[in-house]
Amino acid sequence: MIVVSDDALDDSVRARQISVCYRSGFFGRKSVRALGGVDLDALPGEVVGVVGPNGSGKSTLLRCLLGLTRCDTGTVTVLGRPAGAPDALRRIGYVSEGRLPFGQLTAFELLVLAATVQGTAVAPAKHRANELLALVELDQVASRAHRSFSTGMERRLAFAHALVLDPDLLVLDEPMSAMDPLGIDIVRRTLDERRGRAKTAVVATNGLDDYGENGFDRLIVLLAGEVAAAGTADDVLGPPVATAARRSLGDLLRSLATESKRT
Amino acid sequence: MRSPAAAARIVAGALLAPRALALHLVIVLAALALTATQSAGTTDAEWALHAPILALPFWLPGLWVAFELRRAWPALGPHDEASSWARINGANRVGVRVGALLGATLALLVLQVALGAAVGAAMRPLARPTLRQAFTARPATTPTTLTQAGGEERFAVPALTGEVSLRLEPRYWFTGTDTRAGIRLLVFADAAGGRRRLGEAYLRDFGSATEVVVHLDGEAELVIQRPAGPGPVISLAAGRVLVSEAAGTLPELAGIRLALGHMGWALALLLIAVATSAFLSVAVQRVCLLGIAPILGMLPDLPVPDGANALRLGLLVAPGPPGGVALAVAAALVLVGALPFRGQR
Repeated sequence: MIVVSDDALDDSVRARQISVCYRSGFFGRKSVRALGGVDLDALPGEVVGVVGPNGSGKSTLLRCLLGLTRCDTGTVTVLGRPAGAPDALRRIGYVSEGRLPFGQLTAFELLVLAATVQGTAVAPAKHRANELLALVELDQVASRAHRSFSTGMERRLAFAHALVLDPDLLVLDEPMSAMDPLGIDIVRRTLDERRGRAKTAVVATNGLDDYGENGFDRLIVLLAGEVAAAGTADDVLGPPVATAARRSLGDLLRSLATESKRT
Repeated sequence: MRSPAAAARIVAGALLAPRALALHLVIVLAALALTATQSAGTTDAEWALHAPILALPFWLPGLWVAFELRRAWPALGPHDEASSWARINGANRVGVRVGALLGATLALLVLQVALGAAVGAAMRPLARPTLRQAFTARPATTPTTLTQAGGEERFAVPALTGEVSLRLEPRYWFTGTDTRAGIRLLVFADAAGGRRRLGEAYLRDFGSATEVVVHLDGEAELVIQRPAGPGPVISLAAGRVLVSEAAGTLPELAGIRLALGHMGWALALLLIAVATSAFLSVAVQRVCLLGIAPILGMLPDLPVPDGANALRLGLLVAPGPPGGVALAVAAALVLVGALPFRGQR
């Protein structure tokens, strides 16, 4: 049971019983349920992991938090505002699963654009862009059009892009996919550093190992759009002291799926 | 820098990228190839008849810019690649549209000027008077009407010697006959020694105006004659005749002026492209633009609304030809699309 204090509510993320159905076909007569009655909580300074197999609804859940996908039922409150509220969006950094737009821009220009579009003056925006390019170690290729980047480099740039305004909340969709160990280390260290400043993150991922032993304060396991397990990493995976090693995420998902079939 | 400025800069940058300019070079070469088909001996009337074909390359930059707009700023429609990006980053939806339009206009201006200069330079050896007349010294004066009888009108003009540009803007009366028939006008000077033919001008279709460069030797009376034949009833005296000294203008400048003359409909096309981005997919929008572009091209002097254009618009829409329906749909799309999109997944 998670107890949420009133003080923390304003900077927290709360989703209650959210359901999403995607409609397709003629006049939307076919519908596919992407999420069904999902709850999610993330308190200030927490890093919450959303795990699950492909097609389990992780990305949809993240899009619901941003207001990019409309929930059929349920409520979502992000940083004290309804999902998609412009003033809340300004305090959120997002790494989507796709590639970054405006591939013709250089890495530097893209970061400056992201900052200036949101009202930052050009000089501080340039300074921030240089800082972030150094952080993700792309400063050597800052003047290259980012469409020429490898997928791993693009993911690093996407991570830097999400950090442009030092947001209170990071919503990351597979941020480490295709990243090399150096990139993974950068993301992990940045999340740790932000946690120390009470900055929140909700991260969808297929693998937990890259985030380290204490990478997540809380985990939500999604299976076919429903929460199959939720709690601290120890609650979900078992404490590391109880077994020689924690269960792998693959083992966990397999056993949860088997249980789900039985019931 | 806010959303509009960013959108304008990025759109202009994308549309003027090296790859885009390479494509534009192909357009310029096509224009030059068409220009080369004209010989120095072509009469003004023949030139005017060929003008629509020769003007074809001037259409291409506008069409291309409207086509490429959403690739340059992929955040105009709800399902565009960067629509989520724009939303999350708080880009002002209306501002972005205005910015994208400004950026595309700037790019179009650059492309048209380059095209016009290239065509003008190519025209230099031909020394086409029709092209030269496109750029004349101002101010112009209005000659006094002397008589108006049948198909002939006489004007008293200032005693000028040398090349003079006449801009003829007749008033038309719609008679229900063929409204799109061309009208050839012959220009003479009446002097003590008799009547001397100065040149000819060609009114391409109903509502149009024309310019002709003639050589005067201080003659004070000008006769403009319309040969008998079908077509709308016109009067130059009821309309306007302007006389100005034709400067020894660079053909390049004349070419630029000619190219910029196509900016009106191209801007209208861009406006439609921006507005319809809110609810049309890229592919459907391109098909619509291809259908609308020729209709817009039929409306000369688009930026200046006047009675003739209103009548043309009415003629296109009222009897219900396919072009009229398309134009009515386009107008409706512009009105609806002027609102910022509200759709979301």
